[in-house]
Amino acid sequence: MKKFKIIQTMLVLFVAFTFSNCEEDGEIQFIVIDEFESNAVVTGLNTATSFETSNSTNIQDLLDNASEFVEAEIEKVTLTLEDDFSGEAITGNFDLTVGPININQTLTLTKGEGVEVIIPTNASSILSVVNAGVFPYVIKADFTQTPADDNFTINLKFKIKATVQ
Amino acid sequence: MKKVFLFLFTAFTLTSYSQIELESILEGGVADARALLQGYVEPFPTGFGNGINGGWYSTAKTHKLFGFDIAVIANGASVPSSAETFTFNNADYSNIKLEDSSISSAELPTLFGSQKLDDRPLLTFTDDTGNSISTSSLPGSGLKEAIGYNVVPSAMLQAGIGLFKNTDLIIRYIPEQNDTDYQFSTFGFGIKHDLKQWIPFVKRLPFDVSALVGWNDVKSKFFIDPEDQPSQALEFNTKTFIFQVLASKKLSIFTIYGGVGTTNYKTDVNMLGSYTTSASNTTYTDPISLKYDGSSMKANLGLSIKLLFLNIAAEYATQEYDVFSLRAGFSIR
Repeated sequence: MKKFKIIQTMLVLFVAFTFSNCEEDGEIQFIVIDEFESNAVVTGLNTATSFETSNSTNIQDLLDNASEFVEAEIEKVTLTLEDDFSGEAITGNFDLTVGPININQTLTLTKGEGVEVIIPTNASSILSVVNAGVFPYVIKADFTQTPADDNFTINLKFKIKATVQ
Repeated sequence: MKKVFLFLFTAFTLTSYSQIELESILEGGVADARALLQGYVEPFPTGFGNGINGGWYSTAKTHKLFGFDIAVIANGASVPSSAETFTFNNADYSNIKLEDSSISSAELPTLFGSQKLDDRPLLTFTDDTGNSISTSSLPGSGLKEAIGYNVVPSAMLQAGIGLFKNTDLIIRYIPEQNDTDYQFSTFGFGIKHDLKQWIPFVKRLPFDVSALVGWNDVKSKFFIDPEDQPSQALEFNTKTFIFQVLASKKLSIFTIYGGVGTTNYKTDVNMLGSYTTSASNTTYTDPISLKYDGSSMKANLGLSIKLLFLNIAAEYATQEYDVFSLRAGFSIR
């Protein structure tokens, strides 16, 4: 039986040795595209026609078992006026900043309907602000008129494309 | 440079550091997971099935009565470049699709394919709730980048004994080996019979001619997480069959030998145990079962050298996947 143990060990070592000599040409990389949501909660607006709030979005899921981001960019952001808004729509100038990315557009958000904002590919990188799978953002809005509600929520859905390794 | 320690089933261990977790694949549906892994893994069982059937003999000459030989055989089956990719057709899948909606099919790397990002199209996995994630398809093992070629290794222990009427009985046997990480056993047998003795005049010619028939059964099981999930295992079973007509010519201490015939294999790859996905909290039991089989003509040519009782041989065989075999052992009578 001891002899077979030795032979078996030889067989295992033979196969293991063959594969253990595999050396990759650098780390294996994966592109991952996923969407992450965050809510910008507006409270106590009263008669004001503007607000500013900051938050952060956890994109840790993109890393999964990988160790680091090689690239990370926002492909698009979808803004949705949530059902807690008592009116129907709001119109205004929206200014969204995520690290070096700044989006400034005049939008009309209708309750329950998403409005997509495409980020130009040459200005979409958030790699510099991604820290351990979290990126912060700041959203400002100047409405054309006082919103019908003091308290409401704007949902932001970020479509992220990341290269991880 | 990161070393990759890939033992047998790289396909599944790769998932431990890839974005495509096994559970993500399962969330795409068991049928889709099977179809995807069927294509991805295929070169390995094909190479193993072809390779393990190498090295049955190093001469066409049979032993004298109760003469015997013992040999250790190492085989390497060369994976052709055509097996470095497999075709992914959107139509064959329900919940896994190419992320690029402008195309309906694409070539994806197999286990022996490229690791480069550009060679790995994005796949979108959608679960039952409609959530989806897109990620690069699985990379190859990196073997070709590391050593310059793709090869599936296999090894075998074999003994033969001469019986009556110039007939050898060949046994391939390793009793069940149990370890915390794996189980392994193999059993096979073959018959080599001298044909020349039955053919008038030919039996006087100065070379040997015989026929070989052999069957082999390799059973193995690799435990994925033996400490926490002892029931989770990867089972890999292969049965092979070979029939060949052999010829050899002894020249001093050298013997040139060769054979022509057929070889075939049947392989089952099963993922055993229960797996619960975190997204939908669904439990899958024995979720993956892959079956492979193949047969081809086989022609091989080899050279052996005998120094007293020591016998060393090398041969090359053309078949579905070409196989290079080395054999070392002792032969008496």
